[in-house]
Amino acid sequence: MSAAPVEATASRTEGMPATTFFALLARIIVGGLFVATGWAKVVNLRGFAEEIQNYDIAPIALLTNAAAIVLSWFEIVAGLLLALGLWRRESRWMIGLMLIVFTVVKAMAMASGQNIECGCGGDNPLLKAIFSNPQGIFTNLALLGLLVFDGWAQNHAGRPARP
Amino acid sequence: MNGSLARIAIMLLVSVGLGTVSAYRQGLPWIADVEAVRERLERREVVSKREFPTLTLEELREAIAAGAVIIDSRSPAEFNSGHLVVSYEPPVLNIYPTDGLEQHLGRLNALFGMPVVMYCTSLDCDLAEQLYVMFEQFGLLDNFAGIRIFKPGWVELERTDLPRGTGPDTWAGWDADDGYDDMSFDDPDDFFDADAFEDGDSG
Repeated sequence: MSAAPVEATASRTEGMPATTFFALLARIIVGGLFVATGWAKVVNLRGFAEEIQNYDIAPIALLTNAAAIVLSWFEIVAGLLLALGLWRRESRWMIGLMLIVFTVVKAMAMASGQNIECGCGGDNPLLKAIFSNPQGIFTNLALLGLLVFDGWAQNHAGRPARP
Repeated sequence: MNGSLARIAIMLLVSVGLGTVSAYRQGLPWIADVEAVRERLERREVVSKREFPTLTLEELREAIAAGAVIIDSRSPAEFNSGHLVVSYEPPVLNIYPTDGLEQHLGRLNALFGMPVVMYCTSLDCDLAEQLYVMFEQFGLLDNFAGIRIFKPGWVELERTDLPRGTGPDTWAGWDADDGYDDMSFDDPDDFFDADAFEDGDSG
């Protein structure tokens, strides 16, 4: 027979606050970065539109301005919601989707040797260091990992200990 | 799931609303000018394959001391949030290649014979090079006493003690009726033939 469940229950509930804390930290990091990068785009929409155009996806050239206008604020809205823990699931999905798309597009650009970053979309040296190619791809993957962790933490929060 | 879709729709709607305000304030249309985009991408292609005359920070200081025309090639939004300032006329001009050069030809024509320095955001930015190519396409290169690019750009200039300011470029050019009363450099003969103007002394 297995050991009495009291000790197991106590060890599980003692671990939960730590998970909750780290999930909060993950949301603040990812959400905060998205608010910062979104704001850097919002204050120079033309520069961001040009960066999107630099990917030279001809059929959607017409939509690049609209993409820049909406995407920049969507980053801020989703980032803020995630950092505050509001509409957590939806904001996590949307940020995760953006990270996946950004990572794929960055990887394609690097593979084709395109010089996408004109440096015109913002001059914050910290953001540039974090998100410029090639390290930007790894940054995005790390942020995706934090989102996955937050999703796991949310799904396991408040679950009773198994006997 | 319906609740999640509704929340995502609200997030999108809020983004569209806020984006509309930002786009209006920055003069960015919702629909891109495909032809202008194509021209800009072709210009980038040209820029990527050639070298351009550049200058160091020390040479930039010397150019400013000599009254060179300084052109900031960043977007108006970036220029308004911070740019180099000089103590003479013309002030630092904001010419954003994407907006075209035609609207600036009038005031540029009045600056023929002067040395020009261009800068953008940073080493990664090629807007100054794009502007250089546009000058070339408009046949303006030989009209100035040399055009050079300060490659480190605004990111470097912010770290220096060179004067900086904010706000838009509102310089309309020299007022022909007043002659050159607003000129602030000591010796107009350095750049112009003073005999060609009635009021050639600095104000």
